[in-house]
Amino acid sequence: MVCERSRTTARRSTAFAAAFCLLAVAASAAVSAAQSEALADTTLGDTLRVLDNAIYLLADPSSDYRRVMLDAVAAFPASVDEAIPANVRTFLARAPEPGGEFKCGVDFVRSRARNALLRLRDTLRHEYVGPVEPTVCYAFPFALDVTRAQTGGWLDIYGYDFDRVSPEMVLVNRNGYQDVTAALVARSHYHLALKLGDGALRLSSESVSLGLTWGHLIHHSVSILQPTSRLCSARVETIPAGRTVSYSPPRISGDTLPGRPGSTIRADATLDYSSNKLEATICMAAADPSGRAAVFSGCTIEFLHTTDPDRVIEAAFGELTSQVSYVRGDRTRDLQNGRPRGPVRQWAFSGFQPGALHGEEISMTARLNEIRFVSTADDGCVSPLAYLEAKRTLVLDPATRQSLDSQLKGIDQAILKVRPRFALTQP
Amino acid sequence: MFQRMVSVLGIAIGLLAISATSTMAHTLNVTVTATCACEYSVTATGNTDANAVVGIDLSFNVIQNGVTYLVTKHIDTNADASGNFNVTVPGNTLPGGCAGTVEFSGFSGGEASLTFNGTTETGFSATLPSSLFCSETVPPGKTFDIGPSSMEGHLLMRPGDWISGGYSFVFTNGSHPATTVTVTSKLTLPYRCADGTTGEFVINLGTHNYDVPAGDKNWQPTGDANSVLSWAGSGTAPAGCGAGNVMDNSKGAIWEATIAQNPDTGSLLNWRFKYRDPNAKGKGNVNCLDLSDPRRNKADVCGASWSQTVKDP
Repeated sequence: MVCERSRTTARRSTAFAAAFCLLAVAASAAVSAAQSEALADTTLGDTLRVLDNAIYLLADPSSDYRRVMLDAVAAFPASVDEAIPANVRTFLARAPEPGGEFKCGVDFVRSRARNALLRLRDTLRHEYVGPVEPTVCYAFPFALDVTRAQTGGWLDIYGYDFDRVSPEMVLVNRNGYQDVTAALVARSHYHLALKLGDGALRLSSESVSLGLTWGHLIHHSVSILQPTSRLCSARVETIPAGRTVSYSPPRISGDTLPGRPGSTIRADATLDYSSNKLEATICMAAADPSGRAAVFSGCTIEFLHTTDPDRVIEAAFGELTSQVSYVRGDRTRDLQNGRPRGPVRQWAFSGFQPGALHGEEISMTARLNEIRFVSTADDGCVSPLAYLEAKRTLVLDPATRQSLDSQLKGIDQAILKVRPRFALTQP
Repeated sequence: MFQRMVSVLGIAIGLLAISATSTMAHTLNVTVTATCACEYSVTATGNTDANAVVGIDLSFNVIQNGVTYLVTKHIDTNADASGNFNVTVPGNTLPGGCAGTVEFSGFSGGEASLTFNGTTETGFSATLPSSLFCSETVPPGKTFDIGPSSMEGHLLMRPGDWISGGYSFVFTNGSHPATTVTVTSKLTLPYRCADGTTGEFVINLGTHNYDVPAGDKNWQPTGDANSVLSWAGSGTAPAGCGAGNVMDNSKGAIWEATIAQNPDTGSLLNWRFKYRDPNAKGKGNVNCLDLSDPRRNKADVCGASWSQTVKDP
């Protein structure tokens, strides 16, 4: 409008007006770019905040993972990249329903849901994101009775994301292994089945276990039970109380003072184990409920322990998750007590002093309780936990049962009560 | 008076000329060659004082997959009675793994310096290799990886930090025949910069052959975590976040290995890996494979936790 009118004035004025128009267009473009950038930053911050909230809620074993994820989809900002909610919806569509045809507990699906959101978070933050790895949660039977296996039937293996890899099966013998993938059938992305009868699998007294592999590594083993089988040595190991883990979450949005009075502080720590490694996923967030102040939020995986390289960690005692949430006052350092049965004894939050303008010092230190876990030797023997689970759910060959029962006498009573981590409560 | 001024000026010009001639006489020519085997060779020739002990310091950048790695090399040699020296140092390891395009770049102020008789002269240019276009095909064998695993905790890595990597394996049964296990492996370390950008860099651990006797059930190449044999390779961290800036590594490292057995025994092997950045732990910038550095023998300097064990069929 202004530019059109300018054309009717004298030459000098025209030149001035033209320059003004160019300047205005340039300024408008710059403002528009800055606004787009600010909008993108706000969208990213808001998206991360929704994800972090869901990640925190999913750490609670009593949470309903479907409800939490649906709430997250509804809470994403309107300008969110559609791929983010689509990713969450895809998980919900693929997630199997525990019980019935999927013989794993809901804890497994909740844990996968949380991992899916952590991956999404890392993707948004351009952090390293590795390829999706399937996980096995249960097998039925949990250990294979060689006598019964020779009469036919199936070995069912349950888990998630089996369609993301090319699963293979090997039969491990005392002197090596042989590929038996031809007998493996993929029923779905969460269910694999191995045909046992009709000569599909030639078991012998040398057979030790069946190994589900992908990526050239065995990711799950199913022991083969025979009268000559040997129970593995199993022991309870302890990491003494007092170990600390620390984490400083990055700034997600805002540029105001961090963690001012009234801010909500929350954190969680979840133990996880695989092979002979024990680690903890640690998350922390500090946010002003009004949403105007700075938000610090993030998660990290803290390595805790590896036991002997020829052993496998099969279970951990007590609760695997600790959580804390509080509204902070005006102290520069806050202490919060954890629960005696959870992994964290005490939480310490710091970095709230007025000088922490950029918030790099905001941090959480979790002092851990004693951690007790079961480790089992992995040398061609049968894990007591696997044997007991098989015995609990199947009628075993009497000779095998007699032989293995007699070997249970030397096993710690606490270990004999442990069930596989993701087993259904009522098999 | 005028004559005196002219003669003083003449003497001064003469002295200046002598001085300049002396400086000009000290020469250093450095040529670097490189191959896709991820090795480089340095040839240095030049002239200093007669019979001088000569030190040559060289630095240049290697760029791979968008990551810049600083390479430094120190060479000691001796000048002859005429002051001439000529030295070639082959077989140096290039960082980054040498897959795809490998570029080399120097510095505006020169890449090399010369030290002799207590004097250091800087600003010498080196002839660097042309870009390498290396195959990305993996060596024969099967490939797997472990990680990311953060056994070393949260690291703040600095450009130039020595990062060492190692692994060990064991046959799970004692009835395998004698075999040679060939391992080609690398470490990948993701990082985040203070400005929020992210990246990762690679430490090439090279290819090693291990002869394993029949029936052997010992960890190879050693079960002793303090032995230098437990480390397979090392390299320096690049300036991934810009010169002098810290790279924040909280994800740990990923070890990727391609292995082959000759003959193939059909036996299971257990594997594990470790890595170490002593400088990020406040222990000094130590290469854990450098036997000439006494610091590497200290457990708190080059001691590192093993990753989880994985089973390879």
